[in-house]
Amino acid sequence: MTTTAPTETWFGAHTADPPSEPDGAPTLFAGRCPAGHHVFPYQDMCPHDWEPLERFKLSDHGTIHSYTIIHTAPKNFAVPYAVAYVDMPERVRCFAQIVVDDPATLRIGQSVTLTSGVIRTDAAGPVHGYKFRVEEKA
Amino acid sequence: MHGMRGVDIIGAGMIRFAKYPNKTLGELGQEAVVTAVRDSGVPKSRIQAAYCGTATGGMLAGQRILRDIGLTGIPIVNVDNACSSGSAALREAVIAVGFGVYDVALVIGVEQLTRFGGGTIPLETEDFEVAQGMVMPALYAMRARRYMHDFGISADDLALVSVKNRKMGASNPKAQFQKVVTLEEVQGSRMITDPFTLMHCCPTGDGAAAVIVASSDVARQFTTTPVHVSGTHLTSGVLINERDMTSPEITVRSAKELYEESGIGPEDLDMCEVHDAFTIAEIMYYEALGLAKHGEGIELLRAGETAIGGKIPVNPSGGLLSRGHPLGASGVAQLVEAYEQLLGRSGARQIDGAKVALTHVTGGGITGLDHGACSLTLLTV
Repeated sequence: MTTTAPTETWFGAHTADPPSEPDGAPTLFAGRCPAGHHVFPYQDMCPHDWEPLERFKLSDHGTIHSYTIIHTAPKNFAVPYAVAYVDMPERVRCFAQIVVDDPATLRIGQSVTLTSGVIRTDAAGPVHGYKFRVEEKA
Repeated sequence: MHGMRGVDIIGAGMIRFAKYPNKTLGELGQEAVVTAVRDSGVPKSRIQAAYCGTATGGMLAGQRILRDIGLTGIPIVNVDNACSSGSAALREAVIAVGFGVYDVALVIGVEQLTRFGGGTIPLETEDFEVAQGMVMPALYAMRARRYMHDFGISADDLALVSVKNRKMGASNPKAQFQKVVTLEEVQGSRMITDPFTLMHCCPTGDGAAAVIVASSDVARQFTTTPVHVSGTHLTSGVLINERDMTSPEITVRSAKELYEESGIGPEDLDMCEVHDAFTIAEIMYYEALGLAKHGEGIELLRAGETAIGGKIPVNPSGGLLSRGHPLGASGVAQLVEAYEQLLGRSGARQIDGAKVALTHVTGGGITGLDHGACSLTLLTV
C-alpha cells in the first residue's frame, strides 16, 4: 500500500531555524543595524535607515507582555489556542502561540521558553513553527 | 489645509446595517446613494466625481454601485484603507473639492462581510502574525489584557462600553442592534477571545452610507443648512519597537496633528463617533483623543459623561458595537450621524445644541503597526 505523506512546512524560515534534534528547540533570529535598531522578524534592510541588518540569535526564553486565548479563528487553526506577545531580553517583541496545560493560569510577566509545534493545518498539511512554552514551576 | 476653499456636506443617507447575504454590493450602495443625493437637492447631473471606500468589496466597487443609477461617465476612485476606507474616501473628495478640481462630489462607504460566511474578518495570510493565528479580536484582547494589568480595570468595566452603546443604538433605526442589553447579558454571551465575549465585539454585517460634498459657494445654491468640514486627517501606522499597547499611537498622533491644524481642541467637541470595534477600544480612544488622561478613561464612562446628556457623548449612533461595522461603510456612517446630529435631526438620541463633531476610524491589523490607517474628520455648524 502506498501513501502520500502530507507536505510538512516550517513557518518563518527567514527568522527561525527549526530544531536540529527531534526534542530540541528552534532558534529565533532578529536583526540589528549599526545605529542600534533591533528588528523582529528578521529582514535584510533596516526599516528606519535602510542599512543592512546583521542577523543575530535571540535567547531561548522571554516574558509574556500580554496574551489571549482565541476561541474563534479561521478553519486551519485548532481552537482554543493561546497567543502572546513575548518580550525578549534582546529588546524585541515576538508574537507566538503559547503552549500551556491550563490557559487560565496564563499571566502577564510569566517566563516562557522557546519550543515548536504545529501552528496550523492547511490543505497541503500541517505547518510547524516556533512557539513558547510556559516554564514549569519548580 | 492651506489654500483650500470651504467644503461642506450637503446631503447624507445610509441603509440599516444588517446581514444582506442575498443582495449584491451594488444594491446595498444604490439605496444609500439615492437617499443622499435626494437629501442634498443636487440634480444627479451635477455630481462630478465619486469616491467609494471599501476594504473587501472587490474590483470596481464604485462602478458596480453607480452604473445602474446612471452615475458613471465621471471619475470614480475606489479607496481601500481597511476600516478607514470610507473616511479616507471622504478626505479625497474634500481635497479635490477644496482645491477646485470639482464643485460637487459623492462619497460612498460600503461593505458586505456576509460574503465571507461569518467568523473573524479574513486578513492577509502572508502577514507574519496572521500566519500564526492572529485575528483582530485577539489583537484588541491583548491590548485589553495589558490595559487591565496596568490600570486595574476589569472585564465588567469594559462591558459597560457595550451596555452604553447598545442603549444608544436602540434609538437608531439604522443600527444593526436596536435592543438594550444588561451587563449580565454582555458577560454571559459566548467567549470569543479572552476576555472578550461576543458582545464585547462589533458584529459581522453589511451596510452602505453616502454623503454629498460641495464647495461652500455651490452648497449655498442647494441648502440653507450645510455642515462644514473643518478638518480631515489621514495617516498610516509606524514601526515602534516595544510599543506601549495601552496607548494607541496612531490615534494619539492623528488627533494631535488634527487639533493643531484645525485650531479645534478636545474641549471644543460636542460629540465624537469613534472606532469602538471592541470595548477596550472606546476606553483607549477617550484617552487618545484627549477626552481623558491615559489610564483614566473608565472614569468618564462610569460618570455617564460619554452617554447622551453627558459632557461629551461618544457614539450616539450606537457605535461599531451596536450600529455594526461593515468596514468601509462605518467611516461614512459616522459622518451621517454627525451630519444629522449637527442639524438637529437625530430624534430620540439628539444631543442638544451639538455644533462640533469629531469622527474617528482606524484601519486594519498588520504586524508591527498600531493600525494600518487612521482617519479623522471634524464637522461643524
